[in-house]
Amino acid sequence: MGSFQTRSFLIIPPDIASTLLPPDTLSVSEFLNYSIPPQILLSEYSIADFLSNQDPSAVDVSEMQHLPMPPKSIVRQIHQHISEGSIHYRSIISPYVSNNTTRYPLWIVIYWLQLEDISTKQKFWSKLQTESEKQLKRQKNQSAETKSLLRKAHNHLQALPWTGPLHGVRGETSIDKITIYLTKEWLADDHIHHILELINRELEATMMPNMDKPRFIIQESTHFLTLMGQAQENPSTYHTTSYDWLRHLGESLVGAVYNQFGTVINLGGNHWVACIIDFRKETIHYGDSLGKPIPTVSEAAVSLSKS
Amino acid sequence: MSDEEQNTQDIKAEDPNAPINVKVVSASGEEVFFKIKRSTKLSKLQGAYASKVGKDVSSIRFLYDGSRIQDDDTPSSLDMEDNDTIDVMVEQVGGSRS
Repeated sequence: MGSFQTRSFLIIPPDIASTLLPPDTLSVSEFLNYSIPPQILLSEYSIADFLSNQDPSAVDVSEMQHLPMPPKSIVRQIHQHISEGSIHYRSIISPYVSNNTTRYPLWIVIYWLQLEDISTKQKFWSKLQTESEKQLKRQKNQSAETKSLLRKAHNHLQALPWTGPLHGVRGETSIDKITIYLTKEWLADDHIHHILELINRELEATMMPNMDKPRFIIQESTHFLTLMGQAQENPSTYHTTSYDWLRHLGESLVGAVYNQFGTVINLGGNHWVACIIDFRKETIHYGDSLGKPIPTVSEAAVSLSKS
Repeated sequence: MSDEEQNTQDIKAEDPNAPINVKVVSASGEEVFFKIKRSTKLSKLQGAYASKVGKDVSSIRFLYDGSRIQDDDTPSSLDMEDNDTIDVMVEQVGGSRS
């Protein structure tokens, strides 16, 4: 959020920021109730009409929450002008409200810029909320389990923080990344990675050190098969240290450290399929929602891990 | 010997600032070489690679030993050695037609 702030006079004093801006910990449902001042869409004024070289006179900060914001393009121009600092402006005036002689501190521009960002986020969460409500209503052909899942997801959506990092998975991901599961948008490798990571953790918690039980290893990287394909194409490099990790994995499967291997594979850059190899039963489970046969390339790569 | 002592010895043995050579290989086999310090975050290398090949860094994936490299990873945190290889893959997506 602080990307616009470079100079000290462009920093909103922290105590004021906490009154003006929604806290990061706010839940989605509360965040959607946060009211943003109206934004003028088109303006006849030039940026000179907004700038003053007198000191700010505003005393009541809450007044700014209702002051109309200039159009986006003007906010950006004002910001550029004052952050370049070639001419020393001291305050901002609003030509939109008649008889308003109040001069606002320069950081009001930062406030406006942040509000734009907040407005975009509100639109995002609101759209998702609508989508989730639609799914709840469209319950015709859904099983009781799906219904209950949708209800749970909808309830959790209200309680999520509106911004910040996504906890519980490796890597740096923002919280809005998980919302894709409520939509019909395509899943990217990052999402599959998160799903496999969670399954893996669940399996690790339940796995028994008993030879008879299945000992599952999940390859979380959806790029695994591509890497195996590359190794197969270049047999000379397969025996270098670059492929130590792959050879070790192969050995652990042959040596029965693990007896089941699972991953998700991307086909043709537009489709996800699940694959489980069971080394005890010598079977391959292949899950394709389109019901197509296993492509030969996958079989070829699989044979490498057996050899 | 405790784990902590072990780690301190390892660090002593390998100068954390000694640069290593890293090869970044794309799926089509193109290679780009980098020389980086062991303590440098690999996110820096990822950014440099992306701008070199003219791609958005968020659209490509960097893998070391088959696993995704995280933003905070450094050659030393991943136990990388001189002349190691990083594989680059393009982002994968999939879904239904609608």
